[in-house]
Amino acid sequence: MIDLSFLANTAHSAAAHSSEVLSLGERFPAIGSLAEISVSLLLILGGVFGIVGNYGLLKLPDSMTRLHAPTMTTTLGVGLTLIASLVFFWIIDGRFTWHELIISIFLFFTAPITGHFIAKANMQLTWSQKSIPRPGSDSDWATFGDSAARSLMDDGADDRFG
Amino acid sequence: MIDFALDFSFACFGLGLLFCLYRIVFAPGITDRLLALDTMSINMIALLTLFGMRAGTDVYFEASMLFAMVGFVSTVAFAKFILRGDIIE
Repeated sequence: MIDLSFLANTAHSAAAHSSEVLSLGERFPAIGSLAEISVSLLLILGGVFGIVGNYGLLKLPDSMTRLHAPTMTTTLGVGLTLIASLVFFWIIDGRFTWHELIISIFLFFTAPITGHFIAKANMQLTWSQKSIPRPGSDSDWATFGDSAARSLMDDGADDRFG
Repeated sequence: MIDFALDFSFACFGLGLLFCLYRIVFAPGITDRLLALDTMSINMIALLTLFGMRAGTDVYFEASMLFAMVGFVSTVAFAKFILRGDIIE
């Protein structure tokens, strides 16, 4: 029989320990009020950037230019909100979490990929193949070239019923 | 003070969600709808983070992480479907 009581002991002592420890903002009131001001400022800035980016989605005239607007919501709006949450939980609430950093890094990585895919789809749907410059003498853009013509997995089932 | 800032930020991102909804309903093309849906998921990440700050728990970070992942994957899959008529080739 394996003795698992040490797990219970450590969990119990950790819980008792964390309830006794004050947060950084509670120990030093100057740091607490400074953190409160900076969290409020970051939240308001993030909200303003978020609303501006979302308004750009309505305001901008072209669907290619509309791709630019939500980028600001992704990077600055959500990023500042996540930084505000990080400071809030660390200094005011008294526990440090890495979740916000993970989420913001994930968003920073995925936003360009999403934008690239939407721009590619937009290019293929609305731009004419003749009106854009050629990439080279014997090749074509990836959205129009041979690689886009037919998939290896496509056995022509769609054409049989077409 | 943080409560007022939280209210302001809630209002901003909620209004942004309504703007995205307008763009989804009245969109000139399908890529605009796709972009508005992606922006909606990003606004939801911000709203979930704000809600976690108001509730004082870090449970909502898992929800916003899931929103980030699922939003990214669904947007890329939808764009791939528009591009090639197929998602996994």
